[in-house]
Amino acid sequence: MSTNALNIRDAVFQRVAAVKPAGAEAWASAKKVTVPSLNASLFPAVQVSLGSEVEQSDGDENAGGMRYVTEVEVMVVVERAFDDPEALVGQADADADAIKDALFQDNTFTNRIISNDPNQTTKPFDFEGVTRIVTTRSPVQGDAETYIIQLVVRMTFRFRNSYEPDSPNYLEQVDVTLTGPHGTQPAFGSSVPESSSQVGTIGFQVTGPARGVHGSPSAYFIVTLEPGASFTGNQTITLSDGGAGGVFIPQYGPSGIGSVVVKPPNLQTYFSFQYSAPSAGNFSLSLTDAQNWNDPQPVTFTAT
Amino acid sequence: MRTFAGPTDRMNPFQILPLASQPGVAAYAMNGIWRYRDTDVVLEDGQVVTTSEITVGVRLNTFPVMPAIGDKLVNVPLSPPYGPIGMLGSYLIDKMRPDGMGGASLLVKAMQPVAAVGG
Repeated sequence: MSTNALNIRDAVFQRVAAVKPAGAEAWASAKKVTVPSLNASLFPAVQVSLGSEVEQSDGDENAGGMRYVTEVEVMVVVERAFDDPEALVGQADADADAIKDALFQDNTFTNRIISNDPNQTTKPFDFEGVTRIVTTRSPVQGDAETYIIQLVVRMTFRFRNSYEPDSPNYLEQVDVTLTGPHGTQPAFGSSVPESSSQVGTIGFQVTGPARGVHGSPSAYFIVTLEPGASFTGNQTITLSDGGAGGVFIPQYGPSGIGSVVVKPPNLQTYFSFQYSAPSAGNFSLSLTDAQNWNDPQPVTFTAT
Repeated sequence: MRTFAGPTDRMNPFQILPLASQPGVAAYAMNGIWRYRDTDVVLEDGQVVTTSEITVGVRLNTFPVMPAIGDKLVNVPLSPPYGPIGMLGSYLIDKMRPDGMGGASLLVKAMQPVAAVGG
């Protein structure tokens, strides 16, 4: 399992373990793994574990580094007993509601930035969304000492993952040998040092939402280099709202207030960012490169 | 922590609260032979719960009316392995297995025990 998946699991556990179960003061047992063998004296018990993690290609497989959209399943399992079946079903339903409230009403869990953190530090986990939540409750069949019910809440978290090459292999130098008429060597130089994709002046464009709600991350803006060009890993583009004080949340690197410098990794052809406007109004978002490329016109973002 | 273990048999008095067989009637005293048998049950996700099957052997002719599934056994003084001392157990009749010779095994399910008054 990826580190981000483990960190999401830990964040879920931290919040679920603090939930007060229906009809009890606290969980009798709370674990971060699926326990193979249980005893009714451990009930009500909660376990948070990871199910499957699926990585699917994110974009063109023939260009750039290895990038994936990852979906990981986090399971919250509750077992409870010592009551009649109808009461257990009701308690399990109340547990499911409390667990989902504890996770999805907590903006330190759902927001990609922590708004009350003055340093805008990066969270140890990140996900773009929870794409699927499946809740099931199953009364246990068998001659147990008590009625037992098992509640399972399966949540699918989606995030993006990439594997940067250890040794960059982009083209740094091109030797060009020109042959004159009748095989003679030309009088001019034959070595032309250039970065692979930065020959000439590169253009790039930005597309994204025209509107959003202030104080919340917008939909994604996408900054794309012209066809055939890619970043080398040491180039930067500065995003700015002209000092308005909004928050930029780029795909690469930490968030920034008012402006942020983005350094996309080698071989990337695009990157995304979100903008959280500080108030309602119109904001002009500019993109300025440090490589003497052709910058696009600023885009206007209207916050309500 | 409850300490359920077994197997063990014992005679233990209790009361029948005839919620299903005689709704509205007060609980009455009864005797039976309690038996624990260790067993495992498998949960939906494959986890195993180590548990016990609890049965109470009774003589049917000692009941004023045949007990029924849904009746409760209440005010059962607990002691290991049935539960902690000082608590009163409560059980719901889940199944009845008549033996054809005037007796029956009541398969019961434990409810949350309560503290015995003065106990």
